[in-house]
Amino acid sequence: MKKVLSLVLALIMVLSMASFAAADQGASVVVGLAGDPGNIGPFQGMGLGRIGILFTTYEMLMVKDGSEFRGCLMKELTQVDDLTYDVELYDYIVDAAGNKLTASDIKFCFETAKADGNLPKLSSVESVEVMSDYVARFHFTALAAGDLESLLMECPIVTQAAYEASADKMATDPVTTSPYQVVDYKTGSTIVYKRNENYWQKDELLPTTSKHNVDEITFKIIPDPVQMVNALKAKEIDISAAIDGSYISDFMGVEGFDVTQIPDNTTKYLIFNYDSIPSAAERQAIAYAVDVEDIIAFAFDGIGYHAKTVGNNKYPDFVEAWNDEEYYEYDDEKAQALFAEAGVTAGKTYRLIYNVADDNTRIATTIQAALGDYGINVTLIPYDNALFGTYKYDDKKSGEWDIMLDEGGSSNLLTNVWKLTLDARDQTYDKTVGHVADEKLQSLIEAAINDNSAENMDAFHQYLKEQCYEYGLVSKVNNLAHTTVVTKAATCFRGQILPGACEY
Amino acid sequence: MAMLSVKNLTVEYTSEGEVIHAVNNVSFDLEKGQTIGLVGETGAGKTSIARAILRILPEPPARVPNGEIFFEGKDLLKIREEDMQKIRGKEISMIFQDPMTALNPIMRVGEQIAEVIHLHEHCTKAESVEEAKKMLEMVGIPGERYYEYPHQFSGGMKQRVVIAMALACSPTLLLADEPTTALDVTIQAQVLDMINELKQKLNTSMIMITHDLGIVAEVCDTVAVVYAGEIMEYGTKEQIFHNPQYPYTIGLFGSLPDLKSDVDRLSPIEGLPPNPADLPKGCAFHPRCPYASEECEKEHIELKDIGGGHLCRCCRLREIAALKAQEV
Amino acid sequence: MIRYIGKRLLWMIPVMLGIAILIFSIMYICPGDPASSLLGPSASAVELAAKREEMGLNDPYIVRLGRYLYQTFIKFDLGTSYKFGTSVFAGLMERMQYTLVIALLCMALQVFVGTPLGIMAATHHNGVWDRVSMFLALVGVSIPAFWLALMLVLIFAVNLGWLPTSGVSNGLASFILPCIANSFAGIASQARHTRSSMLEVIRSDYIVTAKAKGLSRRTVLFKHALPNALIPIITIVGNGMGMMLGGTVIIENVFAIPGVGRYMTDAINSRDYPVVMGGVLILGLIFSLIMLLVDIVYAFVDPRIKAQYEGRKGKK
Repeated sequence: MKKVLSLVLALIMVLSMASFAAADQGASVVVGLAGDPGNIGPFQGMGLGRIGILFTTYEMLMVKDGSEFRGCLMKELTQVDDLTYDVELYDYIVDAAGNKLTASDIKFCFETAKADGNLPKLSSVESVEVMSDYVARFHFTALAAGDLESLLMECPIVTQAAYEASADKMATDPVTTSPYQVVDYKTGSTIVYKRNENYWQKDELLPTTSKHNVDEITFKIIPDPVQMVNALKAKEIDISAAIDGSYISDFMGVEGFDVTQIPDNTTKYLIFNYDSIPSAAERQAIAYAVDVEDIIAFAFDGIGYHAKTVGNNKYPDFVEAWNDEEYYEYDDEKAQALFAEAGVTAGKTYRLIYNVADDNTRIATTIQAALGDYGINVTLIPYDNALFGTYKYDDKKSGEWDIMLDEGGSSNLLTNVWKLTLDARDQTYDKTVGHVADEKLQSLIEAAINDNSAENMDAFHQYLKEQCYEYGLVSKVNNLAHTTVVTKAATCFRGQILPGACEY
Repeated sequence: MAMLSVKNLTVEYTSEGEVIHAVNNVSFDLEKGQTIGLVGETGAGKTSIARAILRILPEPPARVPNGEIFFEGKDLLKIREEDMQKIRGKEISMIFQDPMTALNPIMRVGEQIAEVIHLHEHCTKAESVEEAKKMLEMVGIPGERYYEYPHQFSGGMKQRVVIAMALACSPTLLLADEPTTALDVTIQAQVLDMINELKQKLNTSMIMITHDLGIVAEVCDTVAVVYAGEIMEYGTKEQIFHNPQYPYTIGLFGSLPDLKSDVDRLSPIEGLPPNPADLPKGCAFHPRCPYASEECEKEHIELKDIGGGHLCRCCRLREIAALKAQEV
Repeated sequence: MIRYIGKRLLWMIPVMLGIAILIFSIMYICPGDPASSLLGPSASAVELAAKREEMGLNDPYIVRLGRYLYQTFIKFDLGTSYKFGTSVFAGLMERMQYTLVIALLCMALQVFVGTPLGIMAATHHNGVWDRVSMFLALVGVSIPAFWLALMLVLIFAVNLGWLPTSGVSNGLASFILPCIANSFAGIASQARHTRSSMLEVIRSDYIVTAKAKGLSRRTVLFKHALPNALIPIITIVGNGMGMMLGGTVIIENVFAIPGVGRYMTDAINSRDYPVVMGGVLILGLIFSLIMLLVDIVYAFVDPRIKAQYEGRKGKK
């Protein structure tokens, strides 16, 4: 028995030695990814796993570098009229298979994406016309402020030749113009990219998203948050932006690791159901009753910011002055007064629905505890991802909830965050997601969408705040930690790691 | 010196804190070539005696606190397990009561016989197969059926296989534990005849455990009547059958239905056998004995020789004889 | 025997059909749909509705069922995953490799560690060894697999660095911790079942016969008792194998193993219908085949069963 045991142990050690033959550190990096990207074809819908690899896999006409939009494949943008723009490409773009990228490829990509229907924003693009080899003319159906750049970034670009050559529409083996090409994709497990030595763009002209400072990138999918932490501790991954807040202190100030905090695109907010809470005083009371600092402490380990509106404060159309305004900070007296005014007494029950993914359960229980102080019962009703997505917009479900915990973000403008839930035109029943049919609200949001001047923004913001139809809670912050293999981490505007742009 | 000499054998079972006195100070001898019948009711301790001889009692509940079993001069209770294994199946073997469960259901019948041959006789596998087939023929089963499984045989044939297995190595002593109880009467006769035949051919000594006096009459030379773990009466077949002395023995014979007379009811022995965990004081049979008196429960009665090697454990024989004379 | 196998194989066809209809109906009744998983959280209601229409999710039950059955049983096409865009069958086969490795290794551990433990417990019934191994078995069944998994990772991967924390990139070493964590409960249950089966068998008459023949304790145990005791264990092993091939979700999640379990649960969560239905069908098929195999093995091990299959030719 002892002999067998020692043999087994010896075997384990040998195997682990053999398999741990580390690759040359400087030439490769391993990134921990929490979400599974699934289908990595160009025209698929956005998802949590996909955003982690999007900019490494594809290039677009325009990209957002920090807070500014700039061209990536596009050399120049010319306006023809309100709804028509010409896009001129660099004339030396080549994909990894050697195909030259021309304007007809642009047309192909946008049209295929529209037909597939996974990128609904593209409905604003009416058509793409090929003007010459490297100039494509975009005809838009409508363009709200800030839409143009977003739309030009929305669709990943590949050559038609490469796309048609792929057996599965590039679901597992995209061939792109990006400096990194997929060499191996074990679905559900790892994606390995190698640098393309014949990448087309000159170093001086590279946007951050197209930088290529490392030879090889491996994305490792690790769904369990504790295991993500373990993997980083064991140096099996070099960097991850999905380190759970409660463990981030394990890496702060520790030899061999660095920590950065990156503001996330998304904000958590509450949507009140107008059908069951028609009284503004009641909604305000709830807002005052909930201490957002408690939520930040409990659900995010103290890392995050109290939102000042329904959206975070990094958007260009966010009005700076709002940072100094009051925004329903916890106030027990006001809460009690307003509950009394609304006729809410102890024993009242609210039903809180939310998506059971990630930290929502903690937020929900904090809210439940907070309202419990007033003798109010909160029934928690979590749904899984798919169900929540359906019920959120389901008019028939309106009778089943009073408060919804939701989150949202946008790639460019605060108005687009508002649009997700507050523009009645986007819902199927002519009310906001919170079942509000308020003409004034609608006209204000339409004004802000058309022209996001500070006045229009402020007008909508103040009215929304006053009515408290929705209440912003926490602007998320991501914890990014890395080993010293990475000397400086780089992230995209969504807070995802850009391994090619990191410094080593 | 007798081939087998059991002296003061005691076997106890411990179950849930209680001690069950299965066998109490049993002694008897057996000469070579002779058959002794151990007669008694179920639960009298007969099987335990046989298993004690082979040392196949289930050791955790069972214990042999004292006794000696001399077989060809050696005390079987004291030799090492390895030596006992050499004796089992070869010098002493056993036929079991229930043929339906006595054979391994997933092993070929012939193999089970060949196994014991190969183990004890120094021969090759092939030779043991041949021998096994011969044994099967000897018990009246075609040799080709070596390759069949127990479920393909009827009860009687299974028992014959068991007998073949027991006699395969020509044992000196055969322990037959109610070998025909589970079989119907016609088959019973066949099996008994076979046992007798083989016994004579191989000059095997036998201990025949049974509750059937008819079998005793056919097969045995000497008889020991066992009650509550003790031998109450012992003698030659003639002595016991023609002159039973112990009241229990008399009762046994009396309970046999008489084909010639016309009776409405059977005449069993009154009462039930005693609880082996709580045996009566004095004579174990006295609660049921029609001739019992105070004397019988005072102290334990010893076996007495009442003439020509006929032993009896009753203390009131003279009184009983007198009572009987009066009745007549 | 061949006829028996043939009959069983034929029976699998209606079983497969039944499974297909059942799983389709379940997924149909289940609320939620793939649209929001495909379009992401920032899609609006209008966009989601359009997507649903495009995917044919608004068609009536019979139409969708008919379409599905035709595609699966006439064209033998399990479809393409909504989430991955790849063939469901190819995806399942790719994932099955990992699940198979884990299932086989765990099964081996279960059989080769659990069975001896059970035998020793039975042969030392009520003795020290019996109590110790039954206590260990109790612990094994009670410990949650994910807790054990994380503990093992903490000790062996993070602190000692001998083994990887997760993933399948390190060859055989990647499977050591997952298999140990996963098989604990299996070893425990195997030990307990073996023990009780052995205890039953050891009390049998034919064991006494074997002893009476003068066979050594060893021979009695391994040649007569064990084969009989293992017969009921065969079903347990077969069952266990079948279930493990369905993927052990918790272990696959914790150790980031791209196995069938994760594939299926992710599919269920995102309402990836082709994967769910194709997966259940394939797993059902595999399970049926394993059960058939178990029954065949039974026949070889226990001649009484074989006689049953062949229809009572035995008794003479």
